[in-house]
Amino acid sequence: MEMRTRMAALLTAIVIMSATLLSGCWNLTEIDQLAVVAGVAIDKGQNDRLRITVETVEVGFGKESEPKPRILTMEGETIFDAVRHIVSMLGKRLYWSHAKVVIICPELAEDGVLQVLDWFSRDSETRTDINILVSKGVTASEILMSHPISETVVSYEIHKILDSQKRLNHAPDIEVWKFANEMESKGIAAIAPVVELKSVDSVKGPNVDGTAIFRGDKLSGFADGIDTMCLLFIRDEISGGILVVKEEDRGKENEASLEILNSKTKVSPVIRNGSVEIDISVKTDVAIDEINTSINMMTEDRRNKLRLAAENMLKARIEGIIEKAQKEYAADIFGFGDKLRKKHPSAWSIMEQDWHNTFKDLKTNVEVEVQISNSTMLSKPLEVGY
Amino acid sequence: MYKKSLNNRELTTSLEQNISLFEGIFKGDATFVTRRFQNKHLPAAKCCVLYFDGMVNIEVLNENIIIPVLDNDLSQQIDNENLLDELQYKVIAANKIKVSADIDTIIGSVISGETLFLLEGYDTALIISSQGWEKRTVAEPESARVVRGPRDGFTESIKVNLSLVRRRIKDPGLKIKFRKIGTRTQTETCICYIEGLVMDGIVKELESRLDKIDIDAVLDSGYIQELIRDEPFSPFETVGASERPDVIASKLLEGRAALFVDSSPFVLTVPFILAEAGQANEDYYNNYIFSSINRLLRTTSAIMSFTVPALFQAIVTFHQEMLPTQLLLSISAAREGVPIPTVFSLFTMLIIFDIVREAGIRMPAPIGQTISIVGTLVLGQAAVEAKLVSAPVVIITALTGILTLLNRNLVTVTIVLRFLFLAAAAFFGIYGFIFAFIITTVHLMSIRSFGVPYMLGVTTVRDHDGQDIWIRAPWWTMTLRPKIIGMRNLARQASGKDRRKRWK
Repeated sequence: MEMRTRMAALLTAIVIMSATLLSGCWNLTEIDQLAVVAGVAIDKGQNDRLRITVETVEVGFGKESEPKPRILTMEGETIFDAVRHIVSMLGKRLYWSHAKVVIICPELAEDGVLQVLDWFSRDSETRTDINILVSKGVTASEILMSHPISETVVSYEIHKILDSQKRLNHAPDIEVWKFANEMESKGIAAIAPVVELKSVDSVKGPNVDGTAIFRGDKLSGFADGIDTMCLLFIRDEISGGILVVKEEDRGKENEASLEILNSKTKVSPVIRNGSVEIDISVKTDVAIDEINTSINMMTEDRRNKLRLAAENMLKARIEGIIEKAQKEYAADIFGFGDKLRKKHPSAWSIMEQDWHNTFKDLKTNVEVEVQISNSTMLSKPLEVGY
Repeated sequence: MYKKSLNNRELTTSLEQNISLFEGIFKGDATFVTRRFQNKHLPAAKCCVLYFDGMVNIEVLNENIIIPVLDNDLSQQIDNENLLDELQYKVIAANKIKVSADIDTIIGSVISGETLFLLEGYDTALIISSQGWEKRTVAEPESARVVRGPRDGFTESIKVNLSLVRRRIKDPGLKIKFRKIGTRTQTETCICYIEGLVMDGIVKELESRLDKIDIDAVLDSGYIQELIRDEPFSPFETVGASERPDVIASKLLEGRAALFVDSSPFVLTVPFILAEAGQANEDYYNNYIFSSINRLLRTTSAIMSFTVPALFQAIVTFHQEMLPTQLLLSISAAREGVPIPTVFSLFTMLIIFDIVREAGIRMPAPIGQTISIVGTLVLGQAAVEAKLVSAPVVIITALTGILTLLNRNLVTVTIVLRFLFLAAAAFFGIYGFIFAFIITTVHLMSIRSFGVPYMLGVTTVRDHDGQDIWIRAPWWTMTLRPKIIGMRNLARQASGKDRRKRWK
């Protein structure tokens, strides 16, 4: 009996000790000892080194403790090398779990972003759901040092802008994990939103608009906001936005703003006569949100005319961006290859190796169907009486 | 002890000898009264009443014992050959009279407030029931107030308490077994159960555990509660206690046995399972939806009362990535400049809260207000302003305190577990927290109360097992008594009789 109790005690001790002592990383850190990183900009430094600019959030004393940004810059051989050197400037450890954005300067992006993505995916503290952006016209650190308009911290403002892009769709909302997935895939090319500086009230603030297009891990070009929207149409990632449609009526040009309520895109690769073609069918529900004329757009033929105008405009634009992607960027940013792999795996296995060349001459058939669901709060147009 | 030293003494036929025998036994007790008197008409009928002043009802003693014996013409109407019996049957107007010659019985009765009647020429005595001491009236219990429901509560008198239960269960099957516990206090206790309904073997087990008690004093049912319980070292209570007769009645009707202890307004019930800690009598009197919501609130707050400080500690010092960014920044801002580590400030504040709570209970009501002012203003606000603790810590402490007080019958548990969890979380974060949680669950799963698993019903959701655990199902669906405890006679409502077969 005594032997059994002793064995039981020993067993319990072993279980408790191994469970507590052999477990994974654990580390007590008081919350005020952390320098919370809001965002990071990665530029090229001198002598092939990397220049890392980190924006941390400092919380002040007392009741008026508005979070204040602090910019820290350090160069290093690698990202982690630079990041760890910041301790010698700050005395606190950088805390990465709450970082929102990583901005990469175009020069570095042209050389390849693999290293950046590797660190963000590999490090245990960084999250892969942080937004990745490419700066345009300025270095990445200049973006972080600019003046935010609605927030006090630039990184948070950029994060907020990206979050609300689903109402505009002029920039894709890309997180590191998604970028890495697309970069790794042969059937789709990675994209990232573009951030520039724009003057508002004589101060320069960040402005997110457009798309950076990558071939592999290297930047190959930029697309503007309108093109981005068409690109997102093909990727079936449209969740809102505005279509401005111009329509002629008896020599007078009318403009209407159509708000996208709902959009569904089907991309189906088909093999016709031994070669691959991509059928793209876009179905969009819109509402008339604004017209600049007194013509009643809700009569059937007027509505049809408006619909046709919208369909033609969208079709032309979508075809435009496809052509640009084929000729200019030479990158399958729409994921046609992925679709082909899913639908015709055998054809894909043949084309896989030479996909980027096949893509350049790929035939696409775009079909656009716009449905005007309602005219929002007005059923009749406003009349100009006087 | 008097039992051993007096068993060689006996009553004699001499009244004076008998009186001096008792005067010798109760020597030094000034409240012991001996009153000699004799019948007007029959001088041979010399007698004496012996009693303890303050323990007997003087009116009963005067009107029903002394005056009849004094005034009645005993020489005429009474057969003088057997005077003691005649007095008992024809003269003394008391509701309960025992005849005894056993010194121990007599002494025990006199001490409990009965009147001893001695007559010249007889070596037996009459023990006349005349108890009458000051009692608290039946009032609403302070420990468990209700909005809806009966407002009577148990008192210190076991007879009154039994009557409160008996009044609710007018069933001849309600059995009451008396026994005395405490060699010196001779405390009257009684086991109460409903025959044909009580769980198999529970009365026998309870009796055998009571038999093993060898203590000189029982001043409250708490003594017995601790002496008969399972798992003596567990913070979880395995014997139930209630101050409300309706609660005890309902437990009896579910197949439990109750133990009443004289001079304690708390009645014990066995077996006791964890789910009972979350049940309130009001649950059964209010609308079932409202009751179910209340019960869920009580259950979650019981769990939160020991997990909240630990979770806070774990997330704020180990897993900051689990916080939303804005919350992280505001907690960080609140901690800025606070020199004491989070775990110590949490620990200290929780201890201080318990000190304030304990002080508040013991304090006379007028001083109680001072405690609350000192507690809230000085400790809470000033400590934050002086940057001794951070505001979130104060919020967590206050929240924990309120959650703890919501489940007062689990206070013991929460105080112990709270610090266990906090310590685990302070060393190992969420990992340690989960570890503590597992240990607690394993412990809970392993303990039993009188053979019944303590967690009975907690994991069941099947119709009749789970309908009175996490929620309180509507009365028309609770046609069966809880299984295992109410197994002897499952049908609670007539419609339950058909369904009963399924469970056999």
